[in-house]
Amino acid sequence: MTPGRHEASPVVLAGLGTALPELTVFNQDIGERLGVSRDWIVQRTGIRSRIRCGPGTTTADLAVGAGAAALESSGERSVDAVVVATATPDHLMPATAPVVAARLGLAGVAAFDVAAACTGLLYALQVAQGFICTGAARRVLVIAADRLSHVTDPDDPATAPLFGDGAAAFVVRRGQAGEPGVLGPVVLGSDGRHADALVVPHGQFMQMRGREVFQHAVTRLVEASTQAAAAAGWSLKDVERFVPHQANARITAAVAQRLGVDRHRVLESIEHLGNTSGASIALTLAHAVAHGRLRAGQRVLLAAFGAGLTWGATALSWSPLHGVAKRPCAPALMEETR
Amino acid sequence: MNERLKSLLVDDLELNPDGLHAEARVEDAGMDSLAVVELSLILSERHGVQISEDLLASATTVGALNRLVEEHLEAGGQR
Repeated sequence: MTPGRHEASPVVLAGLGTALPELTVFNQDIGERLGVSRDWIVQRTGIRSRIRCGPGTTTADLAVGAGAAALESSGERSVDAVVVATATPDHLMPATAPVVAARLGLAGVAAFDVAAACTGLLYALQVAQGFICTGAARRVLVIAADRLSHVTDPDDPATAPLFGDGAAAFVVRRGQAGEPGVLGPVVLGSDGRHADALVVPHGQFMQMRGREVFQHAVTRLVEASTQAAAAAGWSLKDVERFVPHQANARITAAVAQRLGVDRHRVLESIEHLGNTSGASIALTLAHAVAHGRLRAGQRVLLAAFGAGLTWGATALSWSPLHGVAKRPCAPALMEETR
Repeated sequence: MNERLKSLLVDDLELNPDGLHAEARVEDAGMDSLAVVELSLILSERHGVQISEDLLASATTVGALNRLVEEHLEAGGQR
């Protein structure tokens, strides 16, 4: 889906928050079980450690933590809708979002999930833009939360090292044209002909055909990124920070090279967080802000690819946020906000 | 060794040129399964040569890989 040229109300990024779970898992722990070395994992994925949920932590717990943090960062507690992007909802029914909204003290607002796997955040952002542009909402909380470790086979060398758990959230609001933080058009796409390249069948672990996923990821990320930059009226040379979904450091390198985006303009978090699915882009943005690598006004290109297959990209000038908030996803917080 | 293939393996895939002798096993030269996909993508994008990953992965030595790529480059995929 390439964006139309119609005039729409500007939508501005007004808050960013994150929540990470409690367990850090190092390559040594995973490598010993798989019979591979630490370096084998680093070389193929760029990952040295990942953070995962303990058995008692749910996707909703992660989402509530990140949602509360994003609301705090936005400086205002109310929103008109909550959209949760997740591939690992706690239940087939109900959706995760109403539970999350209620736990955030937002019972009564529109709340639903978006399922687009690792591209979920960008799909959810587009939905939120639609809500705001049509006047259905003034402020929307968009949360990406996943615990893919829960559906990953610890004995599968192709997937066991890859995934970390986590959540990140944006608050987006109606804004003014030219304001920093205005979201650009979102480019979205899918190709279900390759649905079985990356799949979690009911009651089973994830199955991935890695080479096929790699090839499609590189091709589609390059295509979507190019389209999103053009739709925003940018050349790829204008991009000051490129933030791809953190799937694999080698996918990121292959995409950046094809886009002509040199390494110092690429933001990454995969080395310490692993692939955090839909949350990875926003977790990476938060990490970059915390380390002084992302400043207000910088031109940022976001791009994602995931199961479906799905992909998407968008461009924005970075918002002068008051701060990026972090919350734990511990039960104490849940009680507090219930 | 074909110069275009060599430059691809060294400059793009960052393999050590000292490991690229004909008898070397491709894994020992530093090619893993993702490098095979990268090679397939680059050959297609840059040289218009379509060689499937499965076919590329069937070459077990650097020499065999070189022959395979050379055959396809000569078969008219050159730009």
